Amino acid sequence: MTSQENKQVKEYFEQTYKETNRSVTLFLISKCKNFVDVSDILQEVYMEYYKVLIRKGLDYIKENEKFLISLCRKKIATYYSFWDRIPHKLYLDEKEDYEREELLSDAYDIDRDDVDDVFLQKEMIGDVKVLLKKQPDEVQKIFYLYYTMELKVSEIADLLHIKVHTVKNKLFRTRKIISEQLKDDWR
Amino acid sequence: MTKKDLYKEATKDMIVGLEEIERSINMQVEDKRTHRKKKYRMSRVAAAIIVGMLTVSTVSVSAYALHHWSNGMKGRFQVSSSDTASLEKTGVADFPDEKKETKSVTKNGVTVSVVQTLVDNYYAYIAFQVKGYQIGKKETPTFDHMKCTLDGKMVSTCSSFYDGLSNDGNGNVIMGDGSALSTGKDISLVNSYVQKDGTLEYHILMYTDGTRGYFSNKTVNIKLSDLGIYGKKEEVKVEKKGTWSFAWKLSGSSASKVKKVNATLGNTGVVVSECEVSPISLRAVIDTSNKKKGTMSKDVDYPPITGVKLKDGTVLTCIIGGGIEEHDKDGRREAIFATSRIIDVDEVESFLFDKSSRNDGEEYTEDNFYEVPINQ
Repeated sequence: MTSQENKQVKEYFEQTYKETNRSVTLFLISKCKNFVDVSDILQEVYMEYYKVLIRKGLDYIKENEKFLISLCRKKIATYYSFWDRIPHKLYLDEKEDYEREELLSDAYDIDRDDVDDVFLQKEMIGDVKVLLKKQPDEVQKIFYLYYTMELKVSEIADLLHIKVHTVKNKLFRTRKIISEQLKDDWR
Repeated sequence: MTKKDLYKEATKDMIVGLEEIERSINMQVEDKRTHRKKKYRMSRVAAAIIVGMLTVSTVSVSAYALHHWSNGMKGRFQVSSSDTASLEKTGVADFPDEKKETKSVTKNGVTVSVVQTLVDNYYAYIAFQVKGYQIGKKETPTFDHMKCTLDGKMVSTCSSFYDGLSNDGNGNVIMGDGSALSTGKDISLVNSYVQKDGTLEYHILMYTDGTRGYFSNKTVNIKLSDLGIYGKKEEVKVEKKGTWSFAWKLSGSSASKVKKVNATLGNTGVVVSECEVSPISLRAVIDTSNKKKGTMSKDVDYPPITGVKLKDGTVLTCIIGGGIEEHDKDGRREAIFATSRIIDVDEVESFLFDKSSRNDGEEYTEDNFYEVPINQ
């Protein structure tokens, strides 16, 4: 392959990535049992896609998003056993029904507070990252979807097949846990 | 910064981005290129076997070595029995499987274990033993996918199954046991991926990003997936599907010899300000801000570092493995390279920088190098 062709493939790949990354990532988050697997599979899927572009040319794939999603399905199938792929979210929702409404309403106020200068420090962001990584997969998914992908709570609930209530709870409670663990720095 | 911004910042890297994906693609392409290049270079060298090559015996295990060394590591890096003891003592060599820091993983009848690591400030070599997978004589084994992270972040790597060969430090291919090649016709006839005990060895070289002490005490996470062989068109024919995953904390040594030198390379105007050597890497800090036009080959920014001269006069002209170079706008360059064989740090007399005065195919001589002493 000439350097000109290589450049074309690279540009086409980057364009496709921009167009499809969001939907492919959302698909993987909704289907992967473990949050950490999302990155692995996402990477493998785009690498596989790149290989196909190199081998078969730019015109080979007619609908990029459909092709990428089908690659995701194949990769997920190799990652998880049949039983792992069966949704089993219901019990999680039932546990959340105890939560009091006033706690839920507070869940959003916390974002409006300005953070002291100390938060500008990279160390603080790093600490939050570490604490988030220790959270269950579902919590990590919710945080990523809410803060990075900027989905609404209701959209997150739809995507993960859980109640709106649960999403709110998990956002609130996790932020509270993080605040408490870092309270010396947050004051 | 609001708390929302803080969480946004903390979550944004939770899933890989385009940059990391492209880096992995580039690494994969580079891996394949390296594989092809290596085979080609070896074939060419094999066609013109040079007599009188160094024969270094590495078969016997030193009485001082406490651990069972990977045959592949010993062969690839031409590790002598005194090296084994010294590398264990300094902590460069570690044995995760023997020390129960990792567990063997068996998938589809194939058992993979982390047998050994060699880690310094800038590089980490990892040797895996692969048991229960047979290949034919001319077949080249490979994993279809390899993913490696360090404390959760992607890290640059180069990996392949060990082919039983090494080099003599001067660009000539030799057998892993230090003996000369038994045939000069075709390298594929002499390379041997299968060890005497029937196992294979898979080696990964992890690269620094330029940071000193990049690997030590960090958790490495490696996933090897889908074992097979290369087909005729370099496609991978997967024969054993599965993922073999490992995670453990790397240990290593930060010991190295660092010397401020301030040496000008001939009439080039290029100044070497610092040299650093460890048993598995070479590093040089170079100032090119006053380089003179017409004093070097057009395709180089400065005379590249290629080897070392030892105190006993031995010249190792070709020991550079993979590496990185950092370029600053003010002309400062930092070159950090993994070596293709173990270096006895105390025995290094000087660093060698290539004058590029040698024609293709010619043997290197000392006249082809700028020599920068590190013991003055």
